[in-house]
Amino acid sequence: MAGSISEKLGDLATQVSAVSPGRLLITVDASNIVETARRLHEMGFDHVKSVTGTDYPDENRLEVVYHVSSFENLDLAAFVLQIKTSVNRFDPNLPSVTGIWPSAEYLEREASDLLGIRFEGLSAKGRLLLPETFAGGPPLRKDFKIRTEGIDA
Amino acid sequence: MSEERFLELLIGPQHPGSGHMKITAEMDGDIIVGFEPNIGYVHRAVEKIAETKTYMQIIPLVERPALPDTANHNLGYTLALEKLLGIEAPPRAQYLRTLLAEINRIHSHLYGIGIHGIFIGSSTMFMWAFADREPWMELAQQLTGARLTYSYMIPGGVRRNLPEGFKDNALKATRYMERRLKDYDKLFVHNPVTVARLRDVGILKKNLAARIGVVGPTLRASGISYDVRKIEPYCAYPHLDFDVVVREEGDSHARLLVRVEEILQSIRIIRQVLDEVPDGPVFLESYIKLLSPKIREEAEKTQIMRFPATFAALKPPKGEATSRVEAARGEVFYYIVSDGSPQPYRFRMVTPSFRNVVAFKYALLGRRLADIPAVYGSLDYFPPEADR
Amino acid sequence: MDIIQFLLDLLFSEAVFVPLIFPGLLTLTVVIVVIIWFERKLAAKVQLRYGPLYVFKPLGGIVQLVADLVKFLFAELIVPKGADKRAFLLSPVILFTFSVAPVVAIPLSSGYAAVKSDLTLLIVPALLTLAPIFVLILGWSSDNKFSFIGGLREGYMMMAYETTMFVAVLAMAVTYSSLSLIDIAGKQSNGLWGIVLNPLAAFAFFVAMLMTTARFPFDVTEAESEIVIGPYTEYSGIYFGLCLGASYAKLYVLSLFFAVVFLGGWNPLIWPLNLNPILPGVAVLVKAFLVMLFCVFLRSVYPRFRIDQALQLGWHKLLALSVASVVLALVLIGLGFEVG
Repeated sequence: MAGSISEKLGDLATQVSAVSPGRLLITVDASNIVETARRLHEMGFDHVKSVTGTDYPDENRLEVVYHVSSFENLDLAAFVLQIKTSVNRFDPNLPSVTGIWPSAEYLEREASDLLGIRFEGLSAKGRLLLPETFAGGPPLRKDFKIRTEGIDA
Repeated sequence: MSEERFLELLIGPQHPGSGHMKITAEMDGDIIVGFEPNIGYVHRAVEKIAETKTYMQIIPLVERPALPDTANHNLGYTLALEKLLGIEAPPRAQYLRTLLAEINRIHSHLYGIGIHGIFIGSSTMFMWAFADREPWMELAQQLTGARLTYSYMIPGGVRRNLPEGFKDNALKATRYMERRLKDYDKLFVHNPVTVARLRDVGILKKNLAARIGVVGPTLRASGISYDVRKIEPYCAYPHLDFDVVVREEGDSHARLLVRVEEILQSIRIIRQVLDEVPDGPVFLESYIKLLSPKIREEAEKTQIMRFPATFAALKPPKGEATSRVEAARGEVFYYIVSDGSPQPYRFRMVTPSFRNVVAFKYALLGRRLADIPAVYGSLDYFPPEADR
Repeated sequence: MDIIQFLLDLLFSEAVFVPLIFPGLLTLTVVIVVIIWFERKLAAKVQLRYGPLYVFKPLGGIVQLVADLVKFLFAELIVPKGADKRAFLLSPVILFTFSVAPVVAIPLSSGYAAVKSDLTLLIVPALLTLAPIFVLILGWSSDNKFSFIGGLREGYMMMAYETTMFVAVLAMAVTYSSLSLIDIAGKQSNGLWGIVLNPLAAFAFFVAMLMTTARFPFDVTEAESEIVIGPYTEYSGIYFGLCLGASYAKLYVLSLFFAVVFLGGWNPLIWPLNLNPILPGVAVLVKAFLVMLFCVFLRSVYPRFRIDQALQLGWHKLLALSVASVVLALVLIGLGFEVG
């Protein structure tokens, strides 16, 4: 599987490897994410399970991981692809993959709400999980400390 | 004075048929022309809190969002954690985990069917379904000590062994449930009014369902045979014999039928588990060695594993792990990033209800106002699980 | 002495006794208390629970509704700021009045009736057609979108059942060749009740009755999971009690009507019992109560229809059925079948 994927993606991906049974890691550049998504979609991977953003303040980057798999193709369904890209922490812009995988819509909205990542091409605007009146930095970043009432606040 | 054709209806959090979310529906008479679900009313920041808690403390934390279905969420987290730790639970523990997961699936589906019933007006279905959850919660209490939030599955195995007389009680409960399902069928599932309300309502076609990424019975009722228990079998599922319930119509009635049929399949699994559960320890030997002799003796005598402080500072090696399990509402996905400290660096949990929110828009545009509760109940959307 | 005799005569005169005491307001209150208790108890028995239990436990909580009524009387009456005050406050009262008013036309025995006229058959459906208008006004005046939609639904439901009801009543008028309820009840004394003579009309009228009184499966007006409680959303206290009581009052009146027209009225009562003017009325009441019991039992069995499905049912199937019942009645008369 790793072989056929790296063949399909060519030199779009910086790395394709199997990390554990059924899990493949694909590292791509932020600019190549839409093309990667398109090629994987052609292979039969038809939905996104999760869009995770992880904050690495020391390395000054936000790592965005797409977990992708297939519903309709039961052979591919056993594999979960991890597509990792990185964006700059202070200017996190990433093209949205909702044009190819509509299932990513709510997941990207959540990532943009909680981590402050701007997905270009994401049609729905407005906060998803946080209240509309939320003032403050994106909560899932490491510099947002949870304040315990009565102790810190 | 402006003349508006569309009425904007705010079916907000304070509404008997909306749960913990706001629905903004634009109505052209009785037809819905715009539909926007607004979620996030019960967002309790589980992922952020998990970054400040130790791995064992996250076990109860992970159960709290999805209250009707705690065991499967617990199971998913425990499987991901065990991947990080590089261990595997002994076979008896795997069977016991499957047992609790299926008991939970049954009473979660009963919850969903009951709520669906009251949403379309059948209070009898609601009362019956919730009354019939009681035997399953009693069974779970006998097995784990708690009625709803079990925290039964810990990395390395399960907390308690199978008690005396459990098998007979469980088989009694399964026979009772099969009798009751026949009553449900006559009263609700094939009641002509129910069929009129649910048939051809909220249809999700097969390729649409796959594209928008719905999971669980919603997906299987649209013709896609995707069940994580068959795709990536975990616990005792590779050794068990059961069917994936799939229907082709994709309407609300099909979703209801999938849930009812899945209860029967779960009963089948429970019977097999009780017959075939192997003997042996319920907790990993190498972990038992870490406990002090006094605790080891107590665990041996009472068959109950108390959480000793040894596990409070559990430090998995640096790395990442993902796991997916089939909860009652669909596929739960966990992704844990560990940096070697007692707290996870990043904890990601994607619940099935969150992935099903999109189904509202696609299923309800062009339908009538009275179809909103019919479709809502059929999707079995649970807002606290979606918002986490 | 004279004054007391005068007052007693006044009290027991038909014009005062029927509307006020039996089967009027006093009996209506008692019947509503009992029937709602019965509805809740029956639904509870089906649903594996107790139902009303604690208020006066030896009788099984039958006084529960009195406790609820007292609670309603003490609750604060809230009028929403944007509501049309006069319409908001007056419409439940008028609604309840028009729901109870037709009871004056029901005869208690062949000699005792408040309205002695040849047209009493028409009075009951005619007065009941006025009630939905006030539900519409209720819904509109509440300044709440859900009440508005609920009121509209009541209007639509009226479209569904009204024609059917009138055509079914027409069928019975044709069968008995009379528009007087006393005549109709008298003609059923030979043992052939209306339900046997024209079962189609009985069935059509029964379903139309369910629709007009918002019994399940036609609970569309008050669909709780869709439009909170429909037109009655903004009402509190005794006004809410009046609103919900109005639909039960309609059920009561229509059940009495059903008992007189289709279930033989006060027949078959043999000689000693049909002397006293009140006892035949008790027979009518008992029959009406049994009809009401069946209507409220349906709550435990059926979910609710959608408005367009109820309308389709009313216009496609029920109207056809009631027209067929008129044809059946004409055939019966044509065959020379003498009734009564």
